[in-house]
Amino acid sequence: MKILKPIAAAAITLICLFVLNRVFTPKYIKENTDGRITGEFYTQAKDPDVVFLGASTVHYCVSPDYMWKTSGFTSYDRSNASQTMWQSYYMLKDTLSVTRPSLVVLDVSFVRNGEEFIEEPSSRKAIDGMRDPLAKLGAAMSSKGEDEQVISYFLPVLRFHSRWKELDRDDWVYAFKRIDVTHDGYLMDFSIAKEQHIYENTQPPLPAFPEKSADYLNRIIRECADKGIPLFLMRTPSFQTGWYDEYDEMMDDLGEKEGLAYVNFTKKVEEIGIDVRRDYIDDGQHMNVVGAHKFSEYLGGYLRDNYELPFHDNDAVSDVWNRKLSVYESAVEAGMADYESALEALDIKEEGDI
Amino acid sequence: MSYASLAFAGFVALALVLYYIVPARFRYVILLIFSYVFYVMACNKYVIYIIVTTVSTYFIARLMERSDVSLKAALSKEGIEKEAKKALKKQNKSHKKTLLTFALIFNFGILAVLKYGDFVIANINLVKLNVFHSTSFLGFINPVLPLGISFYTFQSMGYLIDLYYGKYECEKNFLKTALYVSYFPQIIQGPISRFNDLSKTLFSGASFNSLNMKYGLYRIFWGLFKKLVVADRVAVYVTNTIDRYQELRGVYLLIAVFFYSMQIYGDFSGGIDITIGVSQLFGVKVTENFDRPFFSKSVSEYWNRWHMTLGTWFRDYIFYPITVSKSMIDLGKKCRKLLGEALGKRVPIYIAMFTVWFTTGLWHGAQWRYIIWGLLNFVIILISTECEGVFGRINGFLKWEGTFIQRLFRVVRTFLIMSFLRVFDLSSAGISQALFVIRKSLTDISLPALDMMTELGLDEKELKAAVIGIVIMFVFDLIQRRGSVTDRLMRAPLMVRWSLTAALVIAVVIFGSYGPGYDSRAFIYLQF
Repeated sequence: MKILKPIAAAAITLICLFVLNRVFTPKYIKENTDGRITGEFYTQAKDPDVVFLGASTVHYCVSPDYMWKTSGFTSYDRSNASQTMWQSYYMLKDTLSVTRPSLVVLDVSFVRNGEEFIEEPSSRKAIDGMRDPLAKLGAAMSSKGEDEQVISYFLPVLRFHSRWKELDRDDWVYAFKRIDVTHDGYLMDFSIAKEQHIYENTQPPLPAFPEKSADYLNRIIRECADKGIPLFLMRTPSFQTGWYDEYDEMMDDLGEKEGLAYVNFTKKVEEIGIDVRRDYIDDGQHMNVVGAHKFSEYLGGYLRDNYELPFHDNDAVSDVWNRKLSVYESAVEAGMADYESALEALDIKEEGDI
Repeated sequence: MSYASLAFAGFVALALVLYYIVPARFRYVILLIFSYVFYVMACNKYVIYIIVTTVSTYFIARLMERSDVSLKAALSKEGIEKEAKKALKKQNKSHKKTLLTFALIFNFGILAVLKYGDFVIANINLVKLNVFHSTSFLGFINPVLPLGISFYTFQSMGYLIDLYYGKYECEKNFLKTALYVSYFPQIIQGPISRFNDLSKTLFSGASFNSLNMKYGLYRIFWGLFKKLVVADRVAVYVTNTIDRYQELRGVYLLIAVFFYSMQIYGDFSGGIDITIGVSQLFGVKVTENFDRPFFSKSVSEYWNRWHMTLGTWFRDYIFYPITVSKSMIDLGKKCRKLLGEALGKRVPIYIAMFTVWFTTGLWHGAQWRYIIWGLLNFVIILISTECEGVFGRINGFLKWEGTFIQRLFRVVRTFLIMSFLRVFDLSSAGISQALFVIRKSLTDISLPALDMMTELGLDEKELKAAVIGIVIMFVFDLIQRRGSVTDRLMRAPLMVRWSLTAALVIAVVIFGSYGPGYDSRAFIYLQF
């Protein structure tokens, strides 16, 4: 009896903490849906062939389900808003704790951003859903701001307790019930930017990437090399300011040194068939579903041609992914009307009409 | 490092593990190490001040002890005459007095310069400008006030004064003296422990005791409840309201006045609960500092139940020494002749009380508003003492002496008086602000609007949480009147005990006012 009481007390404490953490962590169902990407990896992915790492450009431009349809391999977007290089590194570690993909693809856009770019909400979205405790600890320690407590990444209720005032039905229902909001990490968007401006760089490029970002990029390269996983470096087609030809040269040099391929797909928009006016939801960074399909088909083809990726002819995986594709296509069909309305509303008739 | 932070929890956990790992005779060393680590983390190089106080306290104590030992040796010699014995005793007393005076001047001097230096300079400059029309002002010192300097100075000097009066023997171990001065759970806000009370358990290296752990943890969480759920929640409203005191309706100021009483009680007594609870984890017994002060029936009773260790310090080391000093006894005799027996004998007491309340005001801060606040307390106690007869006659007329209604009236009256006096503490802009707030909160009364309460930091849900927290705090105090709540909880059936424990912990974790708060809009803006 003496030993039973402390064990029971500890068990009750743990159960209470578990329930509180689940209830109080934001569900990101109706808004901020990108907050679900990290966590849904465990319920959706089931050993993807390819893992995409990077910031929001990845989960707006790369559609794993469409890539399955056009190129026949499975994948997952492990990206988040403003995901830094160190978060991508720990995302990779978190991924490798449960699976071993045939290829890792890294969008290097954020290598130019250093620690000044750390924003707590972004870190939360990237890290809260991680399951590997060591990866999570590393991510939290490398990402935490001055006022943040690392322990709150393991006990999110300490961070989100003030939500007691706004808890709604979803918080209780989806504390334990599964719901898939993303499509293997991809966020489907049917909108079109109301205006399209392609800005020119006004500041000179950095002479070198920030030390911390460069260090974590190097760690990603080493981690993949150590595990024998091919790594492909890329940039999604993006017209945002802050990226320079000099950076491409630096990435080319790095690729050459490490024996890795690097492609900035911004330079291939014509070949891909991207229409800047119709295919983005903002100023040439984040694609809508139409742009994402064009890019995913092209990228899938590129990866199929250049890397040894498995074929899933009528195996168990293809059954699962075909079912996913069916759900995905239904969602696309349901949303395309919105896209057409947006086109009409903006009176965009000709391709490339900015 | 705040007592109500996760960093402090981790710090205490580490200290606890090491404390119980090492042999009992070295446990006080662990406490000393952690006390200094805590101090250095908070104060950096200013740790030098506490070291200086510790060294001076230790050596003066030892010198006084040596003086007593020499006296004993001299007195024990055979054939020594009565007159010579008397002379030796007088000489010893004088020697000890010199040592004590030096220690008091030295240590209170440090405190005076650091805490009150700029206040004195500001007043000198004011006199120079207004009286002598001189604009050549003295420069300010702008010193950094080391953590807990008032507490550790008062505590160490109390120890030396007790040694001077021979109340107990001095501590011969320097490290133990250092621990007594710097003991980390009470360095921020007291209590001001007496050496003979604290040393019994502080140096004994108590064995691990699960009951101590349970009691300690309950006390800590209760302290956290008072601080995080009540004090820190209403603090937002109080601060916002006082910042806008000129433009707001009086009713909002009135609410702020009452909330400030709750804030300061929750914050201070909650902090003391944490101190006592943390000490209990180490098997160290720390003196209680609060005894349900808001149930006091008079201002003087209130001060016997609020920050009790400061009150007894002033009583023992200022009030009594003044009242029994030769000059006061002489003054008393003269006053009795001039003013009559009854009033004359009270004059020295009132002078001592005036000194105590002046010092109490000064203790709370180096500003005139604190001194005024202290002296207002004195005036109220003075009036209530002098008008005892009148009040007695009124009570006789109302025929309510000893009834519940009369007790309730006195409790409410004391609460109101203390709440309005606290406005001086609250008004950082000075005495005129305090008077404005008091006047407006009493004259500009209307129903408060929820929108404005929300604007001032307490929306409907926050307000409900604050009010419920306050009610729980007072119900707990009411139950406490019939004995320790923790004792009763320990005797309760298992399910009741665990349910209440879980409720307390969950209340602190969920409803505690800590952390950055959650604003979903901040997350929306960062989707990309």
